[in-house]
Amino acid sequence: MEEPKTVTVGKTTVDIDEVVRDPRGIRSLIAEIISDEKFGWPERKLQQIDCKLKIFPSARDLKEWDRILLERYPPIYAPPSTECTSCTLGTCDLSREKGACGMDLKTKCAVESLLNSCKGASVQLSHARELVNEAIKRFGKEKEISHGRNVRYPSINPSVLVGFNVYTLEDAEKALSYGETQLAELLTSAEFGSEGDVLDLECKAFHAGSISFLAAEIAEIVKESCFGLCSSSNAELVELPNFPHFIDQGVGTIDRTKPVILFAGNSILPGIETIDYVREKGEEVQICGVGPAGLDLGRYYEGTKNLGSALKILKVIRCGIPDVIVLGDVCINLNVREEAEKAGIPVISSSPKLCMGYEDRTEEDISKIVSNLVEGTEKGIIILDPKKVAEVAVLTSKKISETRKKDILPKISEYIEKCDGCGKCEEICPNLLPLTAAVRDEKKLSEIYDSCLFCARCESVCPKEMPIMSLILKSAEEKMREEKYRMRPGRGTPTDLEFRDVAFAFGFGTVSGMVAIVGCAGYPGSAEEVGYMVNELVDMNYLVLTAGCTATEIASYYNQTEKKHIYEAWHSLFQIRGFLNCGSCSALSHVARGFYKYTHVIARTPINGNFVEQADYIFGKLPCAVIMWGPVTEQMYAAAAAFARMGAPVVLGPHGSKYSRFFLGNRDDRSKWWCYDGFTGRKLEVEPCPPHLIVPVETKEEALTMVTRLLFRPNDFRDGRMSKFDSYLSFYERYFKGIPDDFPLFVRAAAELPWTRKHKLLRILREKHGWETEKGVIIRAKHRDGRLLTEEEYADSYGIRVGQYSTFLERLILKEAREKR
Amino acid sequence: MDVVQIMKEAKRPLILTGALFKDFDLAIELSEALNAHIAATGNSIAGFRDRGFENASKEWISEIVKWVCIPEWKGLDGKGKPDLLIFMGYHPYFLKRMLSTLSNFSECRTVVLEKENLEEAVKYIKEERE
Repeated sequence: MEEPKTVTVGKTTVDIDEVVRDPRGIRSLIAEIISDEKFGWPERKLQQIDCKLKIFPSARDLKEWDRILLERYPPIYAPPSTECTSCTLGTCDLSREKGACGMDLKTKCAVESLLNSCKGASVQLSHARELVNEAIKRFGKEKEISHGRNVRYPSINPSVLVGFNVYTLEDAEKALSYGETQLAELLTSAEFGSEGDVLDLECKAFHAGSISFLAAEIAEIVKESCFGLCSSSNAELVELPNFPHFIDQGVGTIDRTKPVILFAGNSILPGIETIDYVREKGEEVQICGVGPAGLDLGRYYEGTKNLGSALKILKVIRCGIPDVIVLGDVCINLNVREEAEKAGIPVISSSPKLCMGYEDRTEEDISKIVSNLVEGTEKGIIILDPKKVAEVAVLTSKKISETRKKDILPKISEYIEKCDGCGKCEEICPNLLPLTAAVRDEKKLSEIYDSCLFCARCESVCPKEMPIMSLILKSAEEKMREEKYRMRPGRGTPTDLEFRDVAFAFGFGTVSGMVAIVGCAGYPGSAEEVGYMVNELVDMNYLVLTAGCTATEIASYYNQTEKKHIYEAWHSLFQIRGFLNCGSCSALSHVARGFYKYTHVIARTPINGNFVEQADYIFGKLPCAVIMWGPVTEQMYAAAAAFARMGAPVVLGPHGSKYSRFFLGNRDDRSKWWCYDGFTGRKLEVEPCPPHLIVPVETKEEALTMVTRLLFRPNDFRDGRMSKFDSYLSFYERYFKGIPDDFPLFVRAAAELPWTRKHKLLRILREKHGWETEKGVIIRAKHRDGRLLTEEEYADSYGIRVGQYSTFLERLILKEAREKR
Repeated sequence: MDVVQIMKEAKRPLILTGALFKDFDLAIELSEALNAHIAATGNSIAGFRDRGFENASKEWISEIVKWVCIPEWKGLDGKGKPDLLIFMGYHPYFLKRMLSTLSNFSECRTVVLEKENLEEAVKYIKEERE
């Protein structure tokens, strides 16, 4: 069949050659994207702006947008080393000169940035591929994917790139293949003698981020529709405020008399099989998880016990909790093998990506494997068949549980005199904890427990071979018994049902904004810090989302006002004062879906193959931002790039400074702060907002203040701007005891100043900044160029007028206005 | 004491106090001795405001580091770029990253003072003045 050359909507005809750079092979898809009844382009929109789509885009295709961001927020690097050992031409010190290959220090940093982002994308791609392949084996390629009745847009992160919706497993595979091809291309750019421009490399790092979200959403779709993870997309509206079910969290919830299987990493498939097996056979085996497994399995089975973030696995093993450990790929502490061996706990690796030096026993007889593991002739094995993992894990755990010594922590009294106070443990501790004094005092040891990362580095240097980490755990046994919390394991996507209700509230300031607090957390104090931030934001009428290990760590936070733990304190509706856990790391894509949906609901911006317009709108209007707390893995690195690229600025916690790359704006350089008025086509100077794209902070108080500062947008509605001022000034006053110096930059009109501070702010504008004000009114505002202008003149020359729309792309200016220019 | 010499030689030193900083009185003494402004990052501004000290402002460390790397930056007061940054009270891992940026991409000199050095530095500078 001949492919179409044009597509017609109503009376408007579009030439397909004008829509994409190279339409070969995708003409029918383009015609469908534009003319689709449900998701296509409204005729009026086709008449108003140029329809330019980026379907199956490479980084080059999206450079148009990325360069706009990077020109405004150029990368700043903090290289851990200036030495380059990437090739055999040298070892080259790049601190002063270029390397033998021609690479300078900034370029090397950018290459590393790209590599980090690619690694993050590869984790998500590989996870999604594993799930899709397994689903295809079980159900066939034609298997339809159910997105749930509450979801209008089936797949957003993939659709903005590939141009089609994921309705079947075949679609999912096609989208993944695109992602895999892109990853190969991106990695090639990081290869010796490839891409040499810093900004182009960062464009590519952004692209890897977007690919990671594409894969993450496919993984989520498959988990929900093929493997039975709960999702709000099918829940009744009345259920949503309490959706999903609670699961137990914390080591205190474990019944030590019953067998325990611990799942870690991306071990969802063997986990599900194990749960099914246990249910079917009526076994009394406890299913536990750390990291992504703890969240995913919790969404599948209410009896799952979540034992903490991925970083907590050594603590769980050292306490002798599991009878069997099942590992999937990623986020596994490499000491697991050694620690499990010491504790007499057999390990089953279920992923070819994590072999740990074990033998592959997939083909062998189950009873033989079980007896080897129980007798201890095999400490660990690989089984790549999820069903077989389930049976082996259950049978082994039952037998081992009967005989294994579970109280394996040492007696403190045996060691208390052994320490000679050399202090080596303290020196090597990543958190510089006062270990020397603590190992001689049980009470102090117990205090250390609250700050310990459970990495066991202290033990590796102790000349007396003291089991310092075990002593810390022993001293805190009572505390651990009390670690009993309830958490929601993840609800999947925000639904259209909820979104329609809340979307306009963002514009009008009823809901101050949407903040996602995500990350790996798991370092000392992270639960307190993240919990505090959630409470403060929800209290300030924000809608707060979370995903990943942060969602797990936060469960222990106690809300003193509500007298409840955090998941019980707040409702889980996508609404004002809501706190939603979307799920594991792949559920970060649901957070992104929440951001994307705004543009569709508010502006009817078509989604498919239309990433740039989506990002342009989010960046210019949607009050959304991300706080990434705790240490940052490559997955989070890619996620930060993806969020930033779609127009959602990211605040990194102090541990995120190790990221070594930030994107900061320079508010003093007025040439960088501009955008087009989409109605008139005028290029206008605008407020320096959002001031940064990826920015590190030192404290949780700075994070809260910074995130509210990042929510200012040039296209704010009046009440929305007022609400943003209110939260920014409130946090700033509370923590820093003053009014921020940069607030005049965001003032457009007196009516937008929060009522409670209006007179104070006007006084400061008058006395410190030379504005003319009188009785609560701005008579003349002072432009950044020094001119004194009436409010009307000021609105005309600084910022986007309320009710107009902003864009950073000339092609999104109304055609009519462009013709008149 | 080399560090004191470096601080005294600086024409436009800028003191930075971070999230872990607690010795506000000493910092004020140092600021007065060097005639240096204090850029209080993290939450440290509260300590200076509580003492009614005015030659300190709330800043964000990443912004300062970025600005210092911009050749044409005119400093916080618009009168000139600092030629020396004196860091006090930062998370070691955070500080490492900031110092890496400064040493590789700016001409600005840096000094890091621990509490003991700070006490000593203030003492030396005061003594020399007297």
